[in-house]
Amino acid sequence: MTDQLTIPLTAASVAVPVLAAVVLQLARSDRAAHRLNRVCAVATALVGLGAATAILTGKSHASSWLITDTAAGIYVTVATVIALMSALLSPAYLGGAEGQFFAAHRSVRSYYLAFYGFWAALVAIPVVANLGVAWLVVEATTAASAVLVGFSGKPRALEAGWKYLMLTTLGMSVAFLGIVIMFVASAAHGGGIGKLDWSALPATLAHMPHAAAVAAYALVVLGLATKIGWAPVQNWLPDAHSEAPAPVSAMLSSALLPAVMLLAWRMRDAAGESIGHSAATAPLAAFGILSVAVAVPFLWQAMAWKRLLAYHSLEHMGIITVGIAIGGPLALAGVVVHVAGHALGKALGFYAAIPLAQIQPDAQRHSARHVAASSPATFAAMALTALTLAGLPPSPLFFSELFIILGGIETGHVVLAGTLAVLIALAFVGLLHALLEAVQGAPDHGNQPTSTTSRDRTAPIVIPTLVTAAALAALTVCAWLLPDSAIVRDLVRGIT
Amino acid sequence: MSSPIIIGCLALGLGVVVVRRRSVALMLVTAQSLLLASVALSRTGGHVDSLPAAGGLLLRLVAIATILGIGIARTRETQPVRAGIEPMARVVIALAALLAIPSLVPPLGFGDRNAQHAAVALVVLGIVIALTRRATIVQILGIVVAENGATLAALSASKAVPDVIELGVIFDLLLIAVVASAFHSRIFGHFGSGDTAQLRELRD
Repeated sequence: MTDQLTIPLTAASVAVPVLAAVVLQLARSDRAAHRLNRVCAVATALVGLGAATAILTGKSHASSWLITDTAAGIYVTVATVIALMSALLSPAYLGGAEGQFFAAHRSVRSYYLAFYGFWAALVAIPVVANLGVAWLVVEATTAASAVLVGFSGKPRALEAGWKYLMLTTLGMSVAFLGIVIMFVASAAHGGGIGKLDWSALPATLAHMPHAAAVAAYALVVLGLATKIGWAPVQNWLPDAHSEAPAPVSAMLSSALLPAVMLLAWRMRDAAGESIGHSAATAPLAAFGILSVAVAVPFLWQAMAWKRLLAYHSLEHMGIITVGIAIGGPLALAGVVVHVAGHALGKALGFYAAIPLAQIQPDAQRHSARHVAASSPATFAAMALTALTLAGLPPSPLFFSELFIILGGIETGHVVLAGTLAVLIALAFVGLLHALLEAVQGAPDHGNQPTSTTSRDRTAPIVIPTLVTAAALAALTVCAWLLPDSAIVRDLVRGIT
Repeated sequence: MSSPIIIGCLALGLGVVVVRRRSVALMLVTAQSLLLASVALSRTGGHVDSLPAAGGLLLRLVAIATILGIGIARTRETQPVRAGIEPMARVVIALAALLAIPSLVPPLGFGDRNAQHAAVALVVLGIVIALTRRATIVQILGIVVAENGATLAALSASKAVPDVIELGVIFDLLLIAVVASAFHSRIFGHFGSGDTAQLRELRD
């Protein structure tokens, strides 16, 4: 694929989901909308994966609007794959759920409108070449995904959606103040929107007074932290991820959080020269290790499956952040594998919640029990998720965590790497405990699997489980090749 | 930026911390946005290039006032939503935050130090409003106050913030206001009140 195709394809990967959102509004019935959704999802994903391939195989390039570097290619791939799977599983979710947030006759089409709008924004975040525009896109993800979180219209969903909307928007206001500070400071050197391009940002920050550069960087990272859900500003995360429709939870956890984290990563690389690499990295290391530490006690508690997965998002975002903070070929290879492996494993876990809600309605609020006996297919998906997220070999997350810890030791971050290793071990035990409950726990009174626990209810999860298992196996094999690869060399050189 | 404008913006923000009625809070925030829009308009100096951003600010304040005004009119509370924290305590919290945080912020490269303090103060006020008030509409207004802080910072620059960013921010804020207003009406429909104290189910 030629480099000339990269920019048009990348632009198309953002535009096509918007087009799909519009096209889906023309569907005359819910059934027609579901059929059209399948076509739109496959077409949109083909464009997205085409763009990702062009980005990853071509030269890095940054225009006024788009940046097509290795990091963008990785994140576009992850976002597209997760969005495709979520789109294909949305009919299964919508078939068993009643959305009360929108008017009943438009509920399904409104869902797809917000869903594809969210998809477009997710793909846009990694490829937008300018910090200011990236901020706008992140805000757009909030608007689209908040209505999806509240889609069921139930009190818990409204609470989760409201918290998510308020906390992340307030956080992004703080980030915007940081961006304005950078812009005001750049006015003395010509100003213009180009000063906020990722490629120009190191120079913009270098021309600022040191204290102003530090303050602007801190405000932007703090604002992004609320959107990523780093501890201690993670309050909205477990609620939104557990109450959103399962396909949307998968997109929030597997695609949105890492994509916004990429912005923090780009910011770190942009600020390294002006405020010092250590000073720029310290907040990331602190947020990362604190996120893992805060998540661990919750992973030991018996709680609803989706809520448990939400706390795992907190843990895994922390691990990825520590990997970015450590840097170096080994840790960054770990980051790449972890972003992809976590996305696949976590998304499957959320998809498993669709049949789980049907066979054990009570599992939406309480820990799942005795799933192995009542629905082997659902249990297989949950087990694959749990073993993957726990980092049990041959899970790719075992290797990614190993890479990050060894990378930390190799680069002299021994305390950070050691602390991370201990916390990961504690989280591992917590998740295995949840898995054992799902296998052996006695079903609660009133939560008995019904006779309608038939194959058709669990069928939607079988194919995603097989696909995910194959993808995870392939990722494990690829993990060994990554530390010496061109992909990691590009990331080590910096991503601004 | 002139001192009366800065003092006016801060006083109106502080007013939102204190007042009980949602409609009064909306009027105060609209007046604050109007002050900022008037500054933007006066800075255009007849240059057509600067008009989109100034016009956008005017459009934003009209649209947000309309969206939230309709929201208030459609969801009449039987009595004002209590804040959980008494007004005097809220004022003390707000004043303490206003005095402490802006003075801790180092020089940020703004030509006008007062504008810098006011910008940071408004963002802090917006956060205080959203965290100490329980009425959904007033929490949304907290976000608008915080965004007004960033707008004030942008207006203090010798060069205008690029239109693409300014207009994008305006569009984003409108989008957020529409979504938040939709949530407000669903919450009111469910609980009979836009009191966020009723949203207490999700706890670990």
